Amino acid sequence: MQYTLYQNMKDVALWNLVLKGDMKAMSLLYKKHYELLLNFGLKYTSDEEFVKDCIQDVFVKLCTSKRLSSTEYVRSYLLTSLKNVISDKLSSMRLTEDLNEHCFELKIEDTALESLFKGNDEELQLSKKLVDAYKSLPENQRMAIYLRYVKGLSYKEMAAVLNINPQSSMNLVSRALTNLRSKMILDEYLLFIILFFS
Amino acid sequence: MEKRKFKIRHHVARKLIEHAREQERHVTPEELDDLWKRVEEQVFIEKRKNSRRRILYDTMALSAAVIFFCMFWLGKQFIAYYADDDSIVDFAQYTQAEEATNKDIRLLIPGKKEVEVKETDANIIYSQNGTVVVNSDTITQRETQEKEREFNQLIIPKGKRTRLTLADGTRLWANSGTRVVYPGHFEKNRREIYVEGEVYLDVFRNEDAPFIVRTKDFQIQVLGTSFNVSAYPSEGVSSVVLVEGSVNVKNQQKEQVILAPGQLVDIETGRLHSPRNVDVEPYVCWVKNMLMYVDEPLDKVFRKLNLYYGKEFILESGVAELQVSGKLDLKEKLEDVLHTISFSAPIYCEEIEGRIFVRKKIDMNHL
Repeated sequence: MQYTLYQNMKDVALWNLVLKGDMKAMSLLYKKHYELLLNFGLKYTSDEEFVKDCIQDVFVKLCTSKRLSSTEYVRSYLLTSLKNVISDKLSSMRLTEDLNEHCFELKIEDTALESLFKGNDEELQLSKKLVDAYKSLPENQRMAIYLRYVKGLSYKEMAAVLNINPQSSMNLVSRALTNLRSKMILDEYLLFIILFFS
Repeated sequence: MEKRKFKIRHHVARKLIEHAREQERHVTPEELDDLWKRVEEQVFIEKRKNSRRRILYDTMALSAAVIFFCMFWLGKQFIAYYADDDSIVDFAQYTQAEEATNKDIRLLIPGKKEVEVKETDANIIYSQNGTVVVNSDTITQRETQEKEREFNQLIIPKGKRTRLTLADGTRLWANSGTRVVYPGHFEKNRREIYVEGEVYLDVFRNEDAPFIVRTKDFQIQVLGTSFNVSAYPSEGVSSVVLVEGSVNVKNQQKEQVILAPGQLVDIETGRLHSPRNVDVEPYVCWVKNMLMYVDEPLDKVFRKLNLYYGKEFILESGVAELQVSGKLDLKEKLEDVLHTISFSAPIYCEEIEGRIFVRKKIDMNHL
């Protein structure tokens, strides 16, 4: 009974229990958002074990910390924590390497596109253009589009991850779309996408 | 045409997003349970580490506190040992004016009526339970709450002597013309008295509480020992003679000497002389009411007799330089003592109006 009650709870309610030292609430948040965190982490590095270790570190820290602050956006809080742990670990591990190695990247292979749009050359060309345009966007815009359209985060949650205010996060996404538009002249379609997914 | 284009592009974008979603890694519930177990294990280890660290910190904090306390305590001890708390000296000097030309031994206890002892010898005992006994009469019951800083005073005029037992068990013989200031109750880590005149001390050994004898010009620090202090303000030279144990004599310039048994140090106008080995008996035999002299000039002997008997002696020319050796029993009457001296030195005495004139005998053989 108790368990189902927990499972129906919203993140904020669970987080408030976590603040009171409730490990059960913590485990639920962990299981609920593990995939999100893992996939987000994999955008920085393809080393899955490394990302898993980082997630483990995030939660161990949260469980042992005595000074957790309350938050409205638990997902954002977890993502930000993971981002920090990953960049800390990566920069301490690979000091000599180029920092750009640790950039947020959503990889879409050409071969994947070819199988995706098999037999439709027009669509394939279009998709390649779109992917290229996406890849040329600044890092935070790429991350914003990923979080917004692939992961379905709200503007407020995105703002919390990117450490900007919600209005800026909206601006960021629209700037990303404008960039894409200018690169792709795809405005109407992305506009549609926005309407479709928001 | 536009509609078709729109449709195619929408289709492509949607497919791409779906593709991206499909590319996302999935985690099975079983895997999640395992992963969470790993977190819990690590949390347990971290918490234990932290609590160990906490214990370490607590221990360190406690150690620091203990060290701090010890240093504070040592500092206090150090101050007790070496820093000069002059309150007893200040008190002694402040109350000096009170000293009257009284003929009786006076015992002054704060808040009590002054005790006067008519006898030549007084025996005063401070016991630990707070009573003060004078010549077998209990004269006062000290309040147990008595402040340590309240000083008692014992004033012995010329011709009188007192045996004083202090609350810590230290025995003190005070010679004639002596003033002793001491607290009615000693502090735990410090025993201090002030002396003007001559005392012989048999200090009760207490390693935790050094015994300090203060005088106008110097101080003596001991743990437990017997020694004689002669510090008459009227005499230019003071001296400390050690019978047994060890004492540390320090003047106001912080110069100090450590005496070995059988050694004497003279303090002349505040300067310490080098210690010298002496026969201690002549210096301490006054305790047994004896005077012992070895080749001593007569003026010194008569100064002593003046103290002991309270009589004024007038030495005629040629007498002061005469040297005598021998023993005098001060329990005897003055006439008998003078008679004894006249055996070993060519003098005779004559009492005129309470003063004793000491004259040189005319040696018939030399005429």
